[in-house]
Amino acid sequence: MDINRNNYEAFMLDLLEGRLSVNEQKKLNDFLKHHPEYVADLPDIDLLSLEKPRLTYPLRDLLKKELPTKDTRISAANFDLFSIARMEGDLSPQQEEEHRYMVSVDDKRLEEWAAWQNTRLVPEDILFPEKRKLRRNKALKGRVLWLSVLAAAASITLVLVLLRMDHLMPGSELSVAGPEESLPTQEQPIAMQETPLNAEVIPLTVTEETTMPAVQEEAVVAVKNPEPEIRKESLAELSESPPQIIPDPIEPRPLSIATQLSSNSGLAAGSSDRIEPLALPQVSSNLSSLSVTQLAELDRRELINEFTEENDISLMSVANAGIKGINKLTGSEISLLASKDEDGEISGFRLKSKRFSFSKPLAREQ
Amino acid sequence: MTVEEYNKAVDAYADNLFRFVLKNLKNEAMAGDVIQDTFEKLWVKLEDVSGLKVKTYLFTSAYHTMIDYIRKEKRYADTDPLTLNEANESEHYSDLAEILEQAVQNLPEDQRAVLMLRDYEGYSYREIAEITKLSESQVKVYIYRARVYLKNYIGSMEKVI
Repeated sequence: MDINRNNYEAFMLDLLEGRLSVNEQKKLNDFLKHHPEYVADLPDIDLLSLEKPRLTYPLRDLLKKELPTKDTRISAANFDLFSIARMEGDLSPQQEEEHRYMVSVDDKRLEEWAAWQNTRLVPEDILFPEKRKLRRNKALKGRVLWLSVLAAAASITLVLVLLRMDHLMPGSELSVAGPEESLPTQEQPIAMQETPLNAEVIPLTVTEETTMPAVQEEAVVAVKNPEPEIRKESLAELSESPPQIIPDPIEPRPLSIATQLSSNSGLAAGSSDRIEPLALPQVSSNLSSLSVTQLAELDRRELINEFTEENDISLMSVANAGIKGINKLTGSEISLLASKDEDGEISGFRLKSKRFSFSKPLAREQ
Repeated sequence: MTVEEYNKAVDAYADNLFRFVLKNLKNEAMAGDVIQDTFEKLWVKLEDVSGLKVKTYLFTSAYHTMIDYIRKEKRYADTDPLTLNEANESEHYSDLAEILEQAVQNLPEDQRAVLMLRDYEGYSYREIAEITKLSESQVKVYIYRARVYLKNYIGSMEKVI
């Protein structure tokens, strides 16, 4: 907005109250130069010069908080900062000497210096009460890793074994010799026997020698209530599949399958040329007379018993249980051995089977 | 870093670390948790941490874990005005050490931690900056401000006594 004789007073008022911008002040100056008759109306300020007054705050230096550098000279204003700097070791030898001198010649500054020194924190003797628990064992780390891998594998196997056995139905024993178990391995070559399927059935008898009375009772019940319909289906499936059944050299389950199949189904005689009994090691008669379900239950309880008999269920016991499960499933003879040193600490492991042997020494505990 | 070096670090720094954290948190259980967490992290990263840098690693880890605790506690304290009143009532002083202790607790958390790292552990500005992720000049300013506050606080309390 241009200044003219109609509005110049408003601009003068704004000038008085400090609301005029620099540009507007220049315009007002120009207006008054061209119209000097209005200068008399100006407020009581030196409008034409508009120079800032040169005022200084006398204690301005005391307000400065510049941290001392190597070039800063000590003064009354920065004495406190120098005191802190001296405590922190930030002063040059010359600056420190100047500070020391200033303190020595002035009692008030000596007190100040003492007060600054009181701000230094003194470490207390505080001990962490559980420090021992923080310490780690070198052998333990390797052991934990190694056993963790073993235990993980073993646990999965164990779960599979337990689940599998829990879900076995009386008429579905054939699944024991299912595809995953019928895969031949070099450790366990398939051995076939020419004995016909309708071989003599071993009678189911329960003797007092058996360690699981409850299971024996269940076995009797199972035999008294056979499920022939299911068995027929199972046999039909069996007759369609290749006649390869893996013998289990450890457990007598396959024999039990064969004998029960032949005894419980009327079709066994007609299938004798297709399904052949297996070559099996000698087993006690009381075990061989149990069905797969009962044997599975025995296995499961045996495993659980082995677990719980130990005072401490360690990773080693879990691993061993899992490996035992693997052995039962595959007919392998894998074993996990731990060697101990003179202190009774585990110093190494050895995983051994017929085909391989793998040992892993562990470093001695720190 | 080897397991042996790890165990040496436990012996050498666990107490210092505990003191540093305890003085900041004022809660022994929480301080213990921080120390456990800190060494657990070190154990997990054993192969990555150099034996020469382990002290800095421990203090850095503990400092940041501690800051997390303090911020969580602040959130709880903000919703519980009784905590502040109880704190005020517990201010009884008998000697300079107690006054200083109280003054330190009144410092902002950044200044307090930085000052403790300086006085308790003797860390340089650069090392403290590395631990706290502050700039060196920030560290220096915090230490200076903290000292000014402590001196003024001690002076005012001495007058009261």
